[in-house]
Amino acid sequence: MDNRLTRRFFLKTVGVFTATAALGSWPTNIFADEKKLVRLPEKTDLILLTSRPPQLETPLHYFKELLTPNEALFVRWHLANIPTSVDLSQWRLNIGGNTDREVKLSMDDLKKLEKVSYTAVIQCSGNGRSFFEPRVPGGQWDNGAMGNVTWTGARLKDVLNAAGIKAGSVDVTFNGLDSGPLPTVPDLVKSLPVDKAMEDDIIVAYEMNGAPLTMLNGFPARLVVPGWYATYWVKALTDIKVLTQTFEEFWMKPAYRIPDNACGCVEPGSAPKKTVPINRMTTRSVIVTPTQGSGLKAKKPVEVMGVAFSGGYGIKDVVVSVDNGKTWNTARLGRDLGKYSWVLWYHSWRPAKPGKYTVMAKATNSIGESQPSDSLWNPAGYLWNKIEKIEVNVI
Amino acid sequence: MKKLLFFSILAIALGSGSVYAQDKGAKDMVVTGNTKSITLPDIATPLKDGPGKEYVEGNCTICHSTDYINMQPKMPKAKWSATVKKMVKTFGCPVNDAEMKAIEDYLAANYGTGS
Ligand code: HEC
Repeated sequence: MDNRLTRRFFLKTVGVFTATAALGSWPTNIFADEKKLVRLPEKTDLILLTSRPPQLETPLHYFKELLTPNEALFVRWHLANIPTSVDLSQWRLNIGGNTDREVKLSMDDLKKLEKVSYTAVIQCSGNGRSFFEPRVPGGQWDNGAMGNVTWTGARLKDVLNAAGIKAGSVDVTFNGLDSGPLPTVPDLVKSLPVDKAMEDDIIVAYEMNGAPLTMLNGFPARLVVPGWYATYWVKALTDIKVLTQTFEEFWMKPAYRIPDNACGCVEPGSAPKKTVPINRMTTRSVIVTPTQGSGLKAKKPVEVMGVAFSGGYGIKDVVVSVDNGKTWNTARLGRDLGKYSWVLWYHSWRPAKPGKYTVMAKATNSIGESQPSDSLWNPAGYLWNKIEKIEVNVI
Repeated sequence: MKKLLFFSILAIALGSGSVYAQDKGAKDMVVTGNTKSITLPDIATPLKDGPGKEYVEGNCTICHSTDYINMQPKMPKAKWSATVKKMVKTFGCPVNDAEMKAIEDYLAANYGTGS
């Protein structure tokens, strides 16, 4: 283990291998499977994907908790010029376009609107991309591009009503303080259909877990679209614009699209004929303990636990198998913080005799959406929710 | 002591004491008046040595760090060429055709599947 301490950050190299690697197929790229931990401002040691712009992944063990600490929440920026200094006396949220008036809200103005709070899973569209086979380019996340956070802010609906949406509106766009280093790089602007934008539960959040947003998670305010992938949760939000036509700039089209069919998938290696913008999250569960490859003792009880969530419909049940899917047991569910939150699940297991065991977990949400046993493939590596499988050795 | 006190006040003001306290004097986040600022570290991820590396270092780091390259799974040359084409045609990476070819060769040789 190489452990260097430089002036401002810690860089560690640890011999952790991804689940795919440990499950049999030797890693195709040794470098891709070697994880470096770095510590950035307001953050703890997180797994480095890229440094400029920063993309940092949360180590799995943080998911033993119902809420993900601010310092441990993953970081994902697209464009190199990210905000590193924000003066709240200058920052404004501008709302305009097809509205009755142009409005500029200060942070104080925003805080005067009704304050709402709820717990919601934030998950990157590409969470689990590194498990795709055949592999696809993009951020090579394992399972750590997600977290469960209590968000507080003003309803987007109230913010939009302050400007007054006019008839004939189609899409609402959201832009933040980040930008590309060259003018040729498309700015990160995302859009929601106007009906979606006016839903009660979408908020402009200025707090995470009761504290101001960290700079790397979108200080001073970000969009929270619970149930939908984080690509819409625009950080360091400054501009909201109401449009009378469909918005189809780069980050909405061709980027962040999924095949236009029920599974959001195509034959591995092929291209979809028709695509739609990625939207609601698929249902999934992740096994947190025991970890892949760990050694357990026969006859000694072990708690198999993890998290489960769905795109805004709550979790009905989680079933766990310790015999590679032959038999399934219903897991106990932990505290319910609402339909957008994840639940922790537990299954007490006493391995009867030594050997190799394959542990699996499968979640189902309240409208019957569940997880596939074979991975569903798409060229951008989105919607990963294959049934989790880990191997443990019992001695 | 004075310094310590200053930092705890900052931390309380921002509502998340423990995070900053742990950062033992690393002043990578400061709040002055209404302004919050962070200082990002330089983190370099070296590329493998090989012909064409200088074109990658010279052009492919204009918009992002080299770890965008290191992070990728090994890909066949056609996939690397498609990625380079996207950088040039979609994002505006300023290289000519010869440089583009040298970069594709370098990536396929050093980060490719050999096909
Ligand atoms: C003009 C700006 C620019 C330049 C120059 C540039 N890139 Fe990129 N690159 C981008 C952007 C923007 C992304 C997407 C970033 C994101 O989503 O995080 C990207 C992403 C990538 C990715 C991730 C995979 C993908 O398709 O998104 C790879 C690999 C990559 N670049 C390689 C290169 C290489 C090799 C070069 C040199 C030929 C290069 N880049 C030069 C802007 C640029």
